[in-house]
Amino acid sequence: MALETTSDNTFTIEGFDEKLNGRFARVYANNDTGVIVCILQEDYVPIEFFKETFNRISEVIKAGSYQKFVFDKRSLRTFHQPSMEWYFIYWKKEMLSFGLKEHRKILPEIDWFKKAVMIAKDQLMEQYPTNIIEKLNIKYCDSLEEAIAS
Amino acid sequence: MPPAPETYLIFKEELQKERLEKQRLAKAYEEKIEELKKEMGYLSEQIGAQQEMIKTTISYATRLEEKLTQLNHSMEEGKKKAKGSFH
Repeated sequence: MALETTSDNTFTIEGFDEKLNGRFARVYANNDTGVIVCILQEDYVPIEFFKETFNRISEVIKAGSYQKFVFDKRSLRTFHQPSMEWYFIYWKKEMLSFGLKEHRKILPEIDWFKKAVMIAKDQLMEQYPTNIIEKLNIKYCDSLEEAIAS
Repeated sequence: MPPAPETYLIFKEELQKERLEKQRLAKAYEEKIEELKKEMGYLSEQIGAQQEMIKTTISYATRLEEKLTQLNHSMEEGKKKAKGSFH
């Protein structure tokens, strides 16, 4: 698998089709391997764009056959708890019904951010004890290559 | 009625051009302001999210601090009990 940077400073992922190329996120999908990748582009994604992006991803997932979702959040420096709540409680559950059960996450290499994410996740787990996390295969990765391959 | 002088016609045409340019600039300005308002809204949302992150982290640290204090207290109690014991 190779990542190729193009002349306009975007990049393509070998074998993947570009499904969205927006200010806040890029989405790539490979229906043959059942992998869909979302790469955030900014340090913060307003909730309206966050939902818009994930609704677009939902359309792709529903129209194909996908098992794995790679979420590259390395550009983020602030996360919006209500967005994460919607993603964790509503979106993941709905997508599980379409077969999406493997989640690969890439966080920025910033300790305080990783810690803040873990604290927020703990809080969500406390708030929603009957979540679907047990049914999902979740792994944190360091690179896109690792996330797609693992 | 004599025809309007050429200079008047040129002036009228220039005036019309300027009016259209003014309208174009006003529209572009309004669009720019709308865009700025949107960006300000996003920044405001981001600041709110950052404050929430800080609040959540401080709550978590406070809970940890309380647990640590309780643990220290329990350890001190344990030590006192151990010292008072005949065993």
